Amino acid sequence: MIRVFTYPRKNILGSYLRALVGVVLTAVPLLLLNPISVIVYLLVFLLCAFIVYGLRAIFRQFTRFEVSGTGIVMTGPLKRSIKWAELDGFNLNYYSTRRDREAGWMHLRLIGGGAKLSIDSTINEFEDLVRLAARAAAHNGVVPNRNTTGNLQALGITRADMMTPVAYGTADR
Amino acid sequence: MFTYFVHRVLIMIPTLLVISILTFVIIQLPPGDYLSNQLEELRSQGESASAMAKIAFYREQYALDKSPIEQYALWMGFWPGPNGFSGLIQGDWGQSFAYDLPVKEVVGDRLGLSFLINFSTILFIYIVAFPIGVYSATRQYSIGDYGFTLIGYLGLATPNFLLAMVLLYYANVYFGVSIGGLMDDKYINQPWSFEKAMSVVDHMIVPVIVIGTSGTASMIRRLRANLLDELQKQYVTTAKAKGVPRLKALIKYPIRMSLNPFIADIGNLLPDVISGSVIVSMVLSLPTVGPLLLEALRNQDQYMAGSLLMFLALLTVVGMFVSDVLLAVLDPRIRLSGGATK
Repeated sequence: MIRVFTYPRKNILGSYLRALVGVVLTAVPLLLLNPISVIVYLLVFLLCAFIVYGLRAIFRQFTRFEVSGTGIVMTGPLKRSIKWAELDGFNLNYYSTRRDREAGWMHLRLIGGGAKLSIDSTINEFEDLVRLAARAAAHNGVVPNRNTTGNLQALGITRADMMTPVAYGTADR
Repeated sequence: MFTYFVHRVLIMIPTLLVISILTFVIIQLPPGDYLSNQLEELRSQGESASAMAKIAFYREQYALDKSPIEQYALWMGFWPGPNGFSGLIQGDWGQSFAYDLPVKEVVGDRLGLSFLINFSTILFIYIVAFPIGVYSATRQYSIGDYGFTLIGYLGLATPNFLLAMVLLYYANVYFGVSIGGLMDDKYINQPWSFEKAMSVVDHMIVPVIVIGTSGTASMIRRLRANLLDELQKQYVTTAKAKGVPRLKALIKYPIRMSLNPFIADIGNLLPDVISGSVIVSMVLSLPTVGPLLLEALRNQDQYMAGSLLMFLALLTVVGMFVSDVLLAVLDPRIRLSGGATK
């Protein structure tokens, strides 16, 4: 059985909106207000960042992650795959723009077989995806760093979960 | 991380806009303005036609007789004035009515010198506080720890300006040197040269120590407390039990974790250091923006005050941004009270 993970439309829409607001906030002063050179450089840099952010939203809209017992495959505009047996890097970070560090998002980074995959927690059923990857990482002897361990615990993924006899998760069973 | 950067920038831009509005409202709050006061003064002395014409010119140039919204838009450079778009965004800081010169000319090197002093002070705080904080935590209740604690409390309790006056007095009485100013008199208003730069470095030592003392003391206390918390956690005990060398068991995680307040404080330190340095700058006759800002606020020199306040706000917002990004890199962990959202 193959499980498919995609970014929800609502989230993609939010990203488009942010990119649009960012582009407007930076492009309008650039085009209309004739700012001094320091501000021009800064605004051009930020404009590029917002354009890249928008392009990434388009890219995400058409990206699918297919997870099976053998590995994870990213399809869409870019194609990449990592076999679970080759997974040798597993990082789970948490970011929040709020001072109380609430209402943030997680970022999963998988490395293996010369490929890297980055997945945000905004994707559907992110916790299941992390659980499957964590099991594979544990099976391969990848030691998660302190940040990753803390974030896994916050998702309710314990060491016992990761060490279950089913090496590559239950997705294909 | 890229997503974090973009989200954070999206918060920063409106924040700066709101700050600019607040700054403008605050400098407009007192009744009247500098030109009205001047007008009254001229009238009481018998009107001078040229001075009255100049005041009328400024009123028109800066839309002082128009609505506050127009004045704000003009000041920021969002709206064209008689000379087209000409505001903060275009690098025109307006006119200092008190000096009758463009704000940029009045401020001159002061902005750079203020930045230099504040940056050096923050560097001083970190360089001094870090080793002392680590020493105090790893040798809790030792003579050294008590000694540093005592010095720390003295540093916290002593007002900066008092320390400045004491140092001024003793430097003069015992060493026969005047430590006021930020460079030797012969370099004032001279073009920059290596000698002038070295003179600035020489004169900066005392102000940096004076302004940085209280910040250093509080940072030592915070680092000590945080590191002590970390050192008492189970993973440190486990590491020691497994024979991990003492230094490695200290550096690998406890120090990294206790560095968070160091990083988080970059944003808070900047405004503290800047506001704390205003009185010290006056006592030590430092050519920084602090005394200029105080004078501008007292005189209702609105463009001077507004531009300087915006500069300080920009420093603070950028400081906060830098500290948030560094914190996100250093400690991307969820807090147990929080939760990831979709």
